[in-house]
Amino acid sequence: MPNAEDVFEILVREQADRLLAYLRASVPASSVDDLFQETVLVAWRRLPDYDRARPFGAWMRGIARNLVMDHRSRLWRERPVDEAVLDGIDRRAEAADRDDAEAFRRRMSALDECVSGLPDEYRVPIHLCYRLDAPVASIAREVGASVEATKKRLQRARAMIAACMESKGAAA
Amino acid sequence: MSDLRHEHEETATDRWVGGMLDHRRLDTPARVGALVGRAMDAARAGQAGGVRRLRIGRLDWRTPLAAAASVAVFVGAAIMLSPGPATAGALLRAAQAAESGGGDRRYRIDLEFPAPPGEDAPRRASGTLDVRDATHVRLDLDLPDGRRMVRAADGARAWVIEPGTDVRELPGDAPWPRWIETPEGDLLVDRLDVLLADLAAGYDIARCDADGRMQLCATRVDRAFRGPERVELVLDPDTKRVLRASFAFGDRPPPPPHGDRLPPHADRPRAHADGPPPAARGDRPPAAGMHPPGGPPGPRGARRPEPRSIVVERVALPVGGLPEGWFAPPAVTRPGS
Repeated sequence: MPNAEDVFEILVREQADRLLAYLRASVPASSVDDLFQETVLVAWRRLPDYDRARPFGAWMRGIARNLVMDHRSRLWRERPVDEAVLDGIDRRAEAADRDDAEAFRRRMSALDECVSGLPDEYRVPIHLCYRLDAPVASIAREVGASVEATKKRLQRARAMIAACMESKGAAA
Repeated sequence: MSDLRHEHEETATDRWVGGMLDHRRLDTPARVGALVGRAMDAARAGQAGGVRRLRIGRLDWRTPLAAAASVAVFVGAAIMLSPGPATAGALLRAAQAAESGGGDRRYRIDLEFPAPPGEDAPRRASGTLDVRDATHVRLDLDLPDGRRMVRAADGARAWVIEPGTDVRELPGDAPWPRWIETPEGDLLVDRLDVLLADLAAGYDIARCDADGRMQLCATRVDRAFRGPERVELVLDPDTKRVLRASFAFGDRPPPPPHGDRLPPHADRPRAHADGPPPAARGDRPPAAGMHPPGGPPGPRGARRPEPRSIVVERVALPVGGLPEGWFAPPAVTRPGS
């Protein structure tokens, strides 16, 4: 019979993708790995307090959220993030709190479909930004638009992706 | 990923969707597995040794020990997980970043076109590609028949000298074309950082180090856009700049003009999903005498010949650097003018 440590690791592995997506939305890329590990360590330490009536994923993400808030001033020293934005991210993450690994994979598949379905005007900047990690100035040159117009186009594209995912029952 | 990129993710929806897209690209199953394993190791170590946490930003006597342990774990994980000093994808991104910077550089270009009908020997051309930045580019190409063509842009003007013609200015906003028409056929010439971006989008990439050289090999998987079948890159191990790039086109017949997939940069001005650049770009129709051997190009949308191979090799700049005004169109002196 698996011991508590084994079960904990299985649950962490099942929730890892969802937790990482949440952290990537919430903190700078350079802090994601550290906060992921910190979340696991805190969860491990507090495991005796875990209420088994609650979804494990929601509990883990709650820990991650507290860590994000704790470290907010340090993580975003140069460009603080509005708490309302973090609250908004949190609300969206709640929608996925009961996802198991398979449900999260379906959510990611919906994401892929929604990106593929974007008109070229929006799909190409998203591709350059999030697949090739191109800076906005480079994307602007590639698509022949100003930097500001490119930022607006990226923002519009993300809103279209969110709406598309919602229409597929995979609220973003 | 640059943290500064979050600058354009302002709202919660922006950040949430951006986070999922980043996760999609960055957190591969192997990486996630390694992260969980590392976190569990740290948890077990904390349980056994009393070092319970690696609190960020809080220093106490345990911090140096924890840091040393995490460095050791990181080094161990890096040795165990990495096929080499860096993955192919990471190397490609590093090369792309290195090539996207400014600064004058020169590349020698060697091309081999298929032998014309009735001939055995392939036709060869060679030239130089000079690049200062995204808007200052100049190609000088010596064609197999001894004639020379030049195409350049200096940030304000784009111009071309086709064989047997004077300099001809193109529309000032004409982007550098992906494919340049020559009398032999169409020639893939673009900035290396742009070509590398296409590799990431439509190719399977692997490390293929040989003879002590850092190399990447790419095989095309996305056939919906026009490009070489195989690409080999030799990188400078220190700067990750491309020292040599070879593009092999093979004899594969062209894809249908209207595939069901879009090219990675279908709406990019310089990209051509199939066939030569559109007339609106200012570099068409080709001047008289510019048709390839055997007659003019086929019907609209038909593909012109491609070289069998292109080799691009970084070479030293001329002593003293590129001449002043190198990217600007030369003054035109017409007889009788």
